Amino acid sequence: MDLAVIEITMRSLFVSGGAAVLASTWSIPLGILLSISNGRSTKVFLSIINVLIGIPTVLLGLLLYMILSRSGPLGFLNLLYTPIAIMIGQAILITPLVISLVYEVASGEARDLIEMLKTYGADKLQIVETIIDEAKDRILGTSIIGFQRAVGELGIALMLGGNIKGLTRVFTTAIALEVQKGDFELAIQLGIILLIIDLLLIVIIRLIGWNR
Amino acid sequence: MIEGREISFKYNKHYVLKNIDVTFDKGLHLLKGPNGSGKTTLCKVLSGLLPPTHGRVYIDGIEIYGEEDDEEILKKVIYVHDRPIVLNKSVYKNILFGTQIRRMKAENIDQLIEKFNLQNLLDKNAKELSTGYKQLVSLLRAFASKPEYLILDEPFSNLDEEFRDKILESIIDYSRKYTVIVATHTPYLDDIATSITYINNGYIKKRIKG
Repeated sequence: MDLAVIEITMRSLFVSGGAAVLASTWSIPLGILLSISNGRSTKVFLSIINVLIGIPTVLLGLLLYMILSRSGPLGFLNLLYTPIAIMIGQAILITPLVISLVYEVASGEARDLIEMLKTYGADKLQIVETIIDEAKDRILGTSIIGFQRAVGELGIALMLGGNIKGLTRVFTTAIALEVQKGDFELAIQLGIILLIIDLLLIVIIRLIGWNR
Repeated sequence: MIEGREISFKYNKHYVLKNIDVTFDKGLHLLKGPNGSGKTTLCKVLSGLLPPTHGRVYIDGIEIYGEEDDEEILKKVIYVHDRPIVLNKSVYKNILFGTQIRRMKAENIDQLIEKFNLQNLLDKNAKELSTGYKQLVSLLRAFASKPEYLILDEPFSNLDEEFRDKILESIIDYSRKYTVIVATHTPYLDDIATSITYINNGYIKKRIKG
């Protein structure tokens, strides 16, 4: 296999995996907390989250570009055109998706379970911990769906990463470039690797579920 | 003492509980009535899990669902669902779970395990148990946590005869020291209950003091 393909694969896994981990750290507790609160503000917040799931990646990319560019408020961090910038952008992109999925998982898990925890006097942290523990395979599944969304997006990777060879080139930007160049062979190769990674992750999740 | 004053509960424009007044002190109290009569809703309202649409609930004279932080007072009450709820942990950890959440010492666990002959099942994942055993684990978790007010919703529904008799014995023992409210349509505890409250269609139809 071409060294460039391996390098792009490793970078894509690092960037999108990091984005999924980052997004999960705040989205999982938030999704569970939303599932245990029933106020009107929760419903409004969830509606906003659901709208944000479909935000165009180029729009989010543009917004983050303006924030991270040298003249932007976070320009001093010099993150633009780095893998970290893509990672942060993808983490923000998938946050509404992961929150919404975790909310669905926790709500389904859980009305009786949450009542049981409340009756024993569990505080919010204990409720979040227990639901994560009880539904860890499904919650891990939400992170993987987030990863799949991140690894397959183009707008943010292109605008924040710049598709720099050897530095910020990832699956989607590389595929787009190779198609433009007419090198379909490499584009298809990268696409197949992307698909295999997705399938492997699904198999891993199933195994975790079976072994619990 | 748990008191409910003028409790009404509306669900989907339909009143499930209508202007109910109840008082439960130390002893064994039965809530009886047909399915859908409002027993479970009343249990949840009294447990602090379901705010009533109207009315007030007091535990030891302190109003719950009020503006003040009622977490401490609610720790006195445990409600056990009619559907058994076990965690994806060993039987032992499930029984211990309530004491761990409450950060209290688990004192009577070994006695409970011995009484119900669960020694050989302690390491087994509770999710893999039959519904009857799950029900038993749910009940033992509540007994192990020693609440002052124990509210049991149809505790016998999934138990076989042997476990049912032992649970009956445990409930009776427990009610000598604490307040136990049992929602049930079975007659097993009728003769020794401190009080029996009949609910139908959201109203209290009859109250019998033992």
